[in-house]
Amino acid sequence: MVKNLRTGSRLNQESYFDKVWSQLDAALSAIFDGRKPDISLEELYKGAENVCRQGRAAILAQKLQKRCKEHVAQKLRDNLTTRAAGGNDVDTLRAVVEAWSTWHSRLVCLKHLHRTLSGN
Amino acid sequence: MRWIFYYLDQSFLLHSRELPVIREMGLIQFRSYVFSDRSLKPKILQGVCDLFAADRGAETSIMADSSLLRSAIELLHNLDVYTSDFEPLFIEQSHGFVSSWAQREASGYLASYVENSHRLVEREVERCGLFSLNRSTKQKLSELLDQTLITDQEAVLLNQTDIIGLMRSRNKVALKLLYGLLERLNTGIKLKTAFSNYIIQDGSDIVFDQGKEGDMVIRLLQFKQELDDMLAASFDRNEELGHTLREAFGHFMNLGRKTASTWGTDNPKTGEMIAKYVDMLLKGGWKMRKPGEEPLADEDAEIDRQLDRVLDLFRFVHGKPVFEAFYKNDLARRLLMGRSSSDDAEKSMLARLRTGL
Repeated sequence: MVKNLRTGSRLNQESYFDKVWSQLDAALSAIFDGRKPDISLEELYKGAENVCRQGRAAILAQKLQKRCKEHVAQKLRDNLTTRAAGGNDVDTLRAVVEAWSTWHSRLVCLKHLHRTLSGN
Repeated sequence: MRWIFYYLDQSFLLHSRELPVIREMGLIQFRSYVFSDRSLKPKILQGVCDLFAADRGAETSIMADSSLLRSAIELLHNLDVYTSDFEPLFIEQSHGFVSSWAQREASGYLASYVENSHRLVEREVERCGLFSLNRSTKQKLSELLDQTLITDQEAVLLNQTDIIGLMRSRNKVALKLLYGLLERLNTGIKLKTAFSNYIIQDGSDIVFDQGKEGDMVIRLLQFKQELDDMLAASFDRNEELGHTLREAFGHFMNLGRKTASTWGTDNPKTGEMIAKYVDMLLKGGWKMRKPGEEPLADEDAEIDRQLDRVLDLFRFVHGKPVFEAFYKNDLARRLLMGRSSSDDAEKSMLARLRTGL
């Protein structure tokens, strides 16, 4: 962990940000795959908190949004259009409903984790 | 993702108008990239409609799946595309379904059509509740059903021959269902023509039945009773249909026809027959009971009841003088020959006549 973040040099902040983001990015990949992230959630949370203190909340949010969009627009959608080609409309609907359920549970799952961590 | 960015949420994102709050983000993305996908969207929507068709029993190649359908509707609500994308398509396809259904069913018996129509409406309403469809959908569906089952099939519903057939066979249940359907659009009174024709036809048959003149009044009493029952049980005591009943009844009661029994005149026979009936009652006929009936507990009440029934009939007769002539004649004979069964009954009857009924 880099100390004195607020007073750190710009270069330090940049590389710290990149590190935090790559950790988060890897965690997201794991979550999207339905796996547990390798890194501890506590560490991830601390990293995010620090980045926000450095005034880079907006960039982090944008990157997160982009990552999610990529997952939904590409991986999720492609998977569904492939499945759609092989069945009737009800089959497609069933696949979409399942995909939504999974996607939704990812979000809910992480929300629960947060509650546990912050002792709510 | 929420938990990690709880800090982000609280400190920054909630105040930013450009970046959506994270918990909304997942939803918006799913809607934008999955639901709105050009190849997926029509299939998703049609899939939902196909499941409804299966649930309606209209589609035999697809298995009904209630839990999938319920989940799908919930998804449509979550993505906020229910009203914009789903409802118009659902209503359109429902229209197709109900139209073909009506075409098929309307070609059968009227009694079956009205019964099955009621059941269809019930099931559609039930289905709306079962799958949590919006009130707006239920409303549109209800209007669609009224239009397709009732308005578009008015010729079938108001077929005079069929309606009179139901009335003649005393099918109170079918008549009630028919009236009920028409009343959904406040058009129950459209039954009045058939009702009127039926009453006049069958009433005239009784009055001009030359072989059974002795039974005329009893048959008329019975007929009146049945019509009153029909009005109450099937037509919800509809005021205008009640008016139609009285008008039609009064019409045939005063019809005349030249027959042998009217001595070549076309005077209505009804007044005379009622007078004779009253004569029979006052001679003790009111005591007569059908086999198996209990002995009368209150004789006075019974006399009054029977006289009231006859007078109810008598009110329809226009030619009161004819009745009076016969009545006076019969009264005199009863008193002279001591054939009257009850002085009180005689007085009661005279009182009624005096007050002008």
